[in-house]
Amino acid sequence: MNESALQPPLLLFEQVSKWYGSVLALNQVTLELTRGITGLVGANGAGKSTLLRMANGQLKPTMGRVSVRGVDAWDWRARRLVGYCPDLDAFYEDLSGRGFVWVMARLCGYTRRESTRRTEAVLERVGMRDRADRTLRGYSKGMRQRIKLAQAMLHDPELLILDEPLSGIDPIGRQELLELFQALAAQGKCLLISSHELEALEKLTNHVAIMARGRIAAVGTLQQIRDLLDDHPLSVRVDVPDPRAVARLLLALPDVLAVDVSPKLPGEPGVCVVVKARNPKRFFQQFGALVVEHALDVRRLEPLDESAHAILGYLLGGSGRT
Amino acid sequence: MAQTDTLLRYRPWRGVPRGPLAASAALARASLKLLVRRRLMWGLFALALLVFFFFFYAQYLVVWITNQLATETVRFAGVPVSARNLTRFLDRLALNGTAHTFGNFVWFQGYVLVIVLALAGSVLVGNDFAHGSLPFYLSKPIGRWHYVLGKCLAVGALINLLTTLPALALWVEAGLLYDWQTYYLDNLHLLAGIFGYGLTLTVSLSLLVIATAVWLRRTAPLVMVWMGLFVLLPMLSGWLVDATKYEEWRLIDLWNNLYLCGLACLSADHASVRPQPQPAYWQAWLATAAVAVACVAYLRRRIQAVEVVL
Amino acid sequence: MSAGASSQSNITSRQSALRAWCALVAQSFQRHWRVRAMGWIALALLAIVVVWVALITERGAWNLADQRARRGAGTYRQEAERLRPANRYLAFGNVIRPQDDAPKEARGERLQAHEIPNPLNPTEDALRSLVLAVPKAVTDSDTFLREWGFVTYSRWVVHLLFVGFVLPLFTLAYASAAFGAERESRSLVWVMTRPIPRSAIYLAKFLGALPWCALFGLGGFVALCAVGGPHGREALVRYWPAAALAALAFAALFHLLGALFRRPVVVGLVYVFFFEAVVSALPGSLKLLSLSFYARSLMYNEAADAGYPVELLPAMAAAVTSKTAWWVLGSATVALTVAGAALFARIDYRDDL
Repeated sequence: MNESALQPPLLLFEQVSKWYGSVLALNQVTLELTRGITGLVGANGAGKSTLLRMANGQLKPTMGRVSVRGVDAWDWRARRLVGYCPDLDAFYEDLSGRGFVWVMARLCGYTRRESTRRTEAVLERVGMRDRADRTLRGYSKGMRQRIKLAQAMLHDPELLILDEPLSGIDPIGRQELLELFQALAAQGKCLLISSHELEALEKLTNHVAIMARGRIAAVGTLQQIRDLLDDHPLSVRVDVPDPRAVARLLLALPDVLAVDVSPKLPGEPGVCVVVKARNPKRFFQQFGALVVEHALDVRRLEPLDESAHAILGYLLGGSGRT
Repeated sequence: MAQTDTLLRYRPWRGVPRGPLAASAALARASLKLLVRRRLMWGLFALALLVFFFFFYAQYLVVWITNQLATETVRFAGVPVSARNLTRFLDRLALNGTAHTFGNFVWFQGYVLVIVLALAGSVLVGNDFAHGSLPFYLSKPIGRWHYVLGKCLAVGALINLLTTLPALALWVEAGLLYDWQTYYLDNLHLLAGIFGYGLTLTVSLSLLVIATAVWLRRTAPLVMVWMGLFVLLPMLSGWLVDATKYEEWRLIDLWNNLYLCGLACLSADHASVRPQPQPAYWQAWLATAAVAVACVAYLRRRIQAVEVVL
Repeated sequence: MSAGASSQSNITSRQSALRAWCALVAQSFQRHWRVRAMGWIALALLAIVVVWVALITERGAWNLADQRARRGAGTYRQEAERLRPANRYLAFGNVIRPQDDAPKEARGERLQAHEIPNPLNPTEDALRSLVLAVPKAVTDSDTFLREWGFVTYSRWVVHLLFVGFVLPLFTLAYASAAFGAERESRSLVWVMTRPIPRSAIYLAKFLGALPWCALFGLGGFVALCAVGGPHGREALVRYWPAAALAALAFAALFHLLGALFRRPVVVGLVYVFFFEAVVSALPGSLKLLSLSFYARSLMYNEAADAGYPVELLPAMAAAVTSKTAWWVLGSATVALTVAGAALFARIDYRDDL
């Protein structure tokens, strides 16, 4: 344990930004992983895949640095420490599952015998050993996912990066894979798993990073994030036909810090109120009660802070998008 | 609340679907947009424009020199040359607004067209197979022939954009360079001929593109087959005609067949077609039709397959 | 699968980057084998070309004497025979006193104005006979006929068909597919996630594609030469180094295109059939930018050194020296490969986005 404490962190993102042309895919991301399972959640297009590809050295950061145990992730040596299961569904379709994994093992630099041994071992672990002889072309989505997973585990990497590993897998298979991930974590591996469903990850880990529009909106255990959010003042835009009356009602709420009536917002100059509230969770409970009590005609309700919005979306059970 | 409710209520679409033919048109539009998004396509368009502008300005140059410098001599590298001789090298292109002007233009445009079509085939059809977007199209209420029709329309639009449209521009230009009233009236058959040539190219080449793309799917083999058809066979046919003195050997050169069909549409004299000897017009029509029919037969066989194998 | 740092060091020691690289070379080679369609098409095209050349050779296209001199005329040998003084006088006599039973040729119908003997002006007649006897001397000269055949074979089969079509098309298909096919099927990621340096991946893919370029490019050359009769066999011996070097240079170029463009075949095609075909035919120094020009220069010099009448290759009058051509083709191969490896190590691929 002492030894690992002296080592550089397993995966480190330092102020990483990535531009695709004029689109900012990652915005000043800083992240450090040492061990255990970390869930990466976010809406489609939040930048999860970009982040995972950078961790694996498939993409180069426009700014900042990504390192694996102190080695730049773009460097090939870093890839010895990382196993990557991409989200794309393209294989050498003419090979059999076993053949594909074996070729991948050879490309990791193992001897033929060692490759065969490792191929059988990982196929066993993902539960594909007895069905790996058909060509990949005929595989179901779930079988393809398992093969992708198998090739990522071939060289027994310290860090496993899994991009949407659970998509397309049936409930029984999903349970098996979740158990596999837990077993890997128990062996001391570090797993970074992305998903757009927090629900799936919640069963696996308590440690999540929430991404929204290219930023890490929050990272920590779910409880830490909830607590963090409680102390984080939030601006909410409420569109109502009679803003003044609503503003009066809102100011009466204990968690409301300030109310701004019909401010000049970018976009349409609608009739709205911007509320600054102290504890978002409590505020929304109180606001809900207020709406029901006074039969308010709320046409739009939108948190103005994007990352808080996303976190809220996830914590309150939505998709993180409005 | 009531107001919000009316706003958010689901409102069904009240229009009437326009049938699968409209879907083919939409498919063609989408396919064209897919191509236009590629920078490589614009590069190829630029090359095609180069050919067009060469013809456009050369046609102008010929008339200008004839009018302005007809009797003058120009010192060319110290040697006095009659100005008329300067444009003699352009005579082979027949840049005088006759049937051969348009025939030659399309002939030369063929070099770019072949590459554009090879790319279009792999992008429009090959990708649908390779990336699994075919079920997406076929899940709509259209038949497989509508899919083929849509893709053919897109390829046809491309062909006409590169051949018929610029040829029309050359026709208009020729009218303005000569006496426009007489030119346009006297050469209406050329206008019809350009459309006929365009139609022949559209039908035969679009079917050929779709058929080869369905067969091969990937760009590299597709390009090899196209090069075989449009580079190797012409070389081969030229030699075979020279060696055996049977002009029917030229029929294996598809581009030459289309050229002959085009000249037939433009009602050019068969004896003036270069290089001589050439097979008869009807033979060229027959060969072109045979290719089109073969493509349709192949597509029909593929389409009648029970499942879409990806 | 025990956890901890000890197993880590164990793993790393068993993973060899060199072994991985060798495996990648083999895998790249096999990928081309797996794309059967392309192999069959390449074979079919090659078969057409080879059969064609075989047919031409069979019909004696490389023998000037047996070729038709012009439309409606006999072969060069017959023409030369007809222009000999004795035959001209015979024909002339038949013109003056036609004999109905004489063969058509002998009746002098084909005597043109400058061929008519002029016995009344012996000096002029002697000079004319001298000039008109040249064809006979030429068609009787085995050396000339052999040289003419070889140069004509070089011009049409080697320079035009091989360097202009077979070699670029096959190297383009195979070298650009090394990355092109993987990018088109989006499977490049599997190679890119392996612990192999990126520049080494580039090199391995190149080496994996080379045997195929050699098989169809150089193999095509061998096949074309094998069916070309004695001229073909001589061309094989004289030109194979140039063909090999050109195949290498083309392969390096198209492999680079494969790494740079999403549709390398189309870009390569524009290069081959516009740039190479047009530029290398233009006068001036623009052709110095075309790879095939150097390959043709090498072949031209080789033929010139062997004493062949290379004036029959008018397009190659501006050929550079062999040394320059070797140097340019060699350094182009190296430079393109090094530049490709360096670029490949920097570009990030987002084909599936």
